[in-house]
Amino acid sequence: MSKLGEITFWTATISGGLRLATPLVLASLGETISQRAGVLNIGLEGFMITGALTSLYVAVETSLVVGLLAGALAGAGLALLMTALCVRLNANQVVVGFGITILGIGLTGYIFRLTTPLGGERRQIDIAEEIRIPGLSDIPFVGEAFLSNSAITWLAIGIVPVVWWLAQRTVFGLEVRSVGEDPDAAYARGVNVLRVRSVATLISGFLGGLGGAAITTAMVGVFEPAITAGRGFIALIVIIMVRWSAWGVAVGSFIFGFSEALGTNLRNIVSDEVPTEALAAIPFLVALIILVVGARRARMPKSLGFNYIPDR
Amino acid sequence: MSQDAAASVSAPESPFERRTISLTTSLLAVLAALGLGAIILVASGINPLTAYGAIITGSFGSSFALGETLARAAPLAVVGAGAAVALRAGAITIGAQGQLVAGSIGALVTGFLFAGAPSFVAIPAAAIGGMVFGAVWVLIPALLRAYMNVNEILSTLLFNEFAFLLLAYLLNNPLKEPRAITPKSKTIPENAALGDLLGGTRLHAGVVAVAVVIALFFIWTRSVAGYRYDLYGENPQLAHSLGIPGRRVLLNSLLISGATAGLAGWMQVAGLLGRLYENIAEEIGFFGLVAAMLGGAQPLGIVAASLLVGALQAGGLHMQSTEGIPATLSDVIQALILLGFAVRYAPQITAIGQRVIRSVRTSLGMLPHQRVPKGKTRSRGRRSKGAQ
Amino acid sequence: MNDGPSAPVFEVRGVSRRFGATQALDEVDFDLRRGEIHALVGENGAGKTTLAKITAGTLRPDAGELRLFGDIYSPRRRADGSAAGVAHVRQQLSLVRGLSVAQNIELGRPRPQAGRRPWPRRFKSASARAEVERLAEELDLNVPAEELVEDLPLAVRQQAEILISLAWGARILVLDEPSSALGPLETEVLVRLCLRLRDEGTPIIYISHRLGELAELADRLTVLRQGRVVVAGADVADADMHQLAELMIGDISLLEVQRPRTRAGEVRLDAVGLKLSVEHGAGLKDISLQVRGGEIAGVVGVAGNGQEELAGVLSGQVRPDSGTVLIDGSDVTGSTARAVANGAALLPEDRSAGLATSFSLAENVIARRVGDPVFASWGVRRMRPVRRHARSLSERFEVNPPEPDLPARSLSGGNQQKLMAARELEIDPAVLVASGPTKGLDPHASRAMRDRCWETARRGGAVVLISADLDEIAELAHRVLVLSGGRIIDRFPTEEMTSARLGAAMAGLRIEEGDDVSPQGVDS
Repeated sequence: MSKLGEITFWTATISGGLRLATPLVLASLGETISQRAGVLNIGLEGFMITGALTSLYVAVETSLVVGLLAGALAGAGLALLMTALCVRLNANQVVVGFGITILGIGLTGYIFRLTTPLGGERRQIDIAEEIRIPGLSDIPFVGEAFLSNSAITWLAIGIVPVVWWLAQRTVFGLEVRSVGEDPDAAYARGVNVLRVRSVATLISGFLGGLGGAAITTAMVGVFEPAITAGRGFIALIVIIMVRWSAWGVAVGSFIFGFSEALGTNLRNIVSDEVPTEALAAIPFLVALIILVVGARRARMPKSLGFNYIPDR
Repeated sequence: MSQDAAASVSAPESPFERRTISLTTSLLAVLAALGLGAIILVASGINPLTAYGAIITGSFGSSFALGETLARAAPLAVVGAGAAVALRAGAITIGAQGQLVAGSIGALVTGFLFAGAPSFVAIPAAAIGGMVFGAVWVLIPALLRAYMNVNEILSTLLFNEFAFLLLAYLLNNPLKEPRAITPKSKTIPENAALGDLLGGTRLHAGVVAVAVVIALFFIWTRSVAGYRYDLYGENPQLAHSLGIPGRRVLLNSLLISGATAGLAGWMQVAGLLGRLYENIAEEIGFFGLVAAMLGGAQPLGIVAASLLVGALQAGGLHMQSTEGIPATLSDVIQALILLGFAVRYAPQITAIGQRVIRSVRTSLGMLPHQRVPKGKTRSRGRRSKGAQ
Repeated sequence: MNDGPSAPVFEVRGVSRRFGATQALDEVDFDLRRGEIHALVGENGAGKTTLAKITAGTLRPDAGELRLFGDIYSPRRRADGSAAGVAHVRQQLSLVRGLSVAQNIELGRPRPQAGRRPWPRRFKSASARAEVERLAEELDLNVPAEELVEDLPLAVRQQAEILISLAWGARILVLDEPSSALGPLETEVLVRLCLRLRDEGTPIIYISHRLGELAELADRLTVLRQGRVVVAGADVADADMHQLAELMIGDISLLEVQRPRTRAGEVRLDAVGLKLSVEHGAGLKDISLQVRGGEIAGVVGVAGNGQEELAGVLSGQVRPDSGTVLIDGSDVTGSTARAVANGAALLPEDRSAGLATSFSLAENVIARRVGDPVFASWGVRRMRPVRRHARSLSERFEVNPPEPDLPARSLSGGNQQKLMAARELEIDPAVLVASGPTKGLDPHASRAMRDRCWETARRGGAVVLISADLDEIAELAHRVLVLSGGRIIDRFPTEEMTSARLGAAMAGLRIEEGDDVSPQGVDS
């Protein structure tokens, strides 16, 4: 127990939390955009796992950067399917999202099994190294805990302000909000509702795929079936809690990542006194609390979940 | 408003015509999914005929295969019927998985408690134990949904994780079979176990429960209470103005779905497997929900959809063991069928889907069935805008 | 091209448009001249809004030709219309409610075609805000730039939308039923704004079905009936309004006003001291009212002054912060179950709240009586008696077609309303709360709904009729209550209803005796 007082325990937990938060940040940023545009995408899990497999398999053959890009594009590809079904063909968003989740898990499982004979070797790569900022990363505690991250984590941190800027400071951001709040009025103002919703969904697929890619190429180095382990759904919880805000997504994801890292790291310390399963439940318990607290304050985009059909 | 427009585009309205169209389009969706599956197979260098041949042999080709299909379809139909009660009332739980695990634990524990009792006591006791545990597992999400508007898709998903962790803990500690390599529990006492229904297959007597559940569900869809629950799912505001208590509807329908998932857990532990394993739930919870959606939350539809999914799964495993083609292909095909059903013209699935969306929205911040809390506007006027 | 003072700036030639089985526009000709306000009038469903949408580019015509300033004008989408300088202010307005006025000004704004367009374009909030403020000052309007549109009163939203049209460089303005939700004072402001814009060189197409207000506003008028032009561009000065009204409706019997006589009985609805606060909207500020059996109490007021809240509280849907609602002496406050059990019926303004659209007609009509022993035994519904009952009720309430198995969504709006009435009124209710029961209905369906309200009163029910349609109130109500800012600010027998008194009260200028005296009732 005394290790709880040690500073290395907390630096490890915080930096681990940032690492675990990375896929969540990316995926929920994308989902924030699509939900703000009125597209409720339960299929995020499907985007993520597709991105996870694709990026690893491509990265093994080429390089990390190409792999990440391929993962993101694979997510966007699945998002294109979602766009076609929900935005264009007016299919029900929840049913399609659920279907896309199963499709993503099934398809990646299929490819993984095909390429990995039983008992054979899995494809794997070395996970990305930490990038330290000269000077800053050497600051005691803060430097170790917050400022020594892998490239993908830095990338995720960098995307946060970009998404914020896109949502708050551009006409596209206004359009996204308008088609999510009041597509009828937006259409009457001359906004191309379907196009804005499609673009928002594609962005969400791109970032969702990138989030999945972060898991395999930056964190684990291998792919396993169902490796995303419900993170797509956790991302949905984060979004509800932070009310569709980009900065909130960053904080919310970190809270979840931190609690996951805490659960893992505590295992090494207190496993004699507490069953490991109880420690593994910590992040989900935190998520449940977040969900309960967040639900009370949520103010969602008014037409979230509803398709829009122009009347021409 | 625009979200209802989908349903109103020149719908064929005679019931017969509707049923015919619905049936044809269902078949088309299945064929299209098989077609896309074939493309995937060809792309991975496999002859689709080999694969689909193996699926058919493995699902209907022999009495063992048929038994396997039925044994897999049985829990799906049970879970699907329970999920359908909730779906019709506008609630959607992805928690059947966790409730099933809880139910299987409950059934095993109750089985041990009644170890000395005669079978006609022990078997129903274990079944009830499973149902109670399943219902308890959804109780907190249901209360949160009914009273605090917490989204039940996400909360039940978290409770799935809790169920898996609880199961892992039990299998590693109190219920552990001492000399086992992979974690598994002791077997359920003989007197609480269900016998085989058909010699030489894994089809167990528990499937009789399926008939009961489906019959009850059929009556439910034609009962007064079922109507009220349906009405709530269809239009919470209308239900509210007619004095139907929305909270109780949500709570009860979720509890019903939990209890049936628990019953499916009992079927797994008392009938099929005899003991608990880490993956006792397989994917039954999820695919039960798929069956409910594909079946349009209708009794016969669910039976048909469960058989379809059960056959795909049994056939898929056969295909994996004989041809070496990954069984997950059947998941892909199911997903494609579901996507096809989401697009096709099908009044039932559209209506159910709309209810779910409405419900999800409700739990994300809209409060159509409750009084206007201080500082909140009613969503009514807003949403109706542009209706004409 | 003719550039004279009365040259047409906008012409419609032979435009037709069909929706399914309905011919919304049938070879319509229309023209708008420089410096005029051209009124386009007609009943609901006459095709006015369709023509407006075609003008704006939201809809495309099936046939026919449009000319703008002499050139062929064939917009493919709304943005083309904006770019060409055609502004369309819709009846339900089209500012996005979750954004501010300054944000709305950039949303969908026509962009200069020349040069490359970077994506994403930046939204410069300071300059957008400055632009709104500058224009507001120029036009002498009080439009706040930074407040969310949903927090603004309807009249201000409308002004904001007109302001934005001008900022976008509107050369002609199409106003669709701009006065329908405004009080008399707000309408006056609107009329002044329109006249000013006209004089400063922006011609206006002004759509309305109220002939009265056109006299002081419009220069010419065109009457549409069932998609055809029946009067083309007549000078308003020479027009005979009564004759126009007949032409517009085409069925003289609908114009006759005869207030039904019923005998007032005991007090059946008794609401005391209702208070409710809500975030958006006026809420209720100490409202009491009693309605006797056989009596119709009309509630009027500018939209958003507490009507919705009052309907909610009286029907038990919303629990007030304080106060009680009694039906025949039983307390039903905040409980729809008790309200329904005591014979309360509700016709909500929003039809989608009152009908299960994917349920069949029979399932809808039975909703209040599903557990009735006639229709269920042992808790299981009996389908055949339900169907039979549904058929006979549909016939009695003139629901067309009266097919029990038909999904309710396949009925037209008027028939849906009738179906709802059949469900609510088949067993004579003790209290009926009817909110805008004829809103959006064609004249014949309206007539039927008004008859239903009256019949309910005649059979001894207490009726609260909340309506924005003053003619409807004048026809049906025995007395009138004026809501403003969540208070009943004036009440009088219908015989004493004059536009002056009504106007003053609706604008919040009159305070009921005994209330605290503040100059403005609207303080939300």
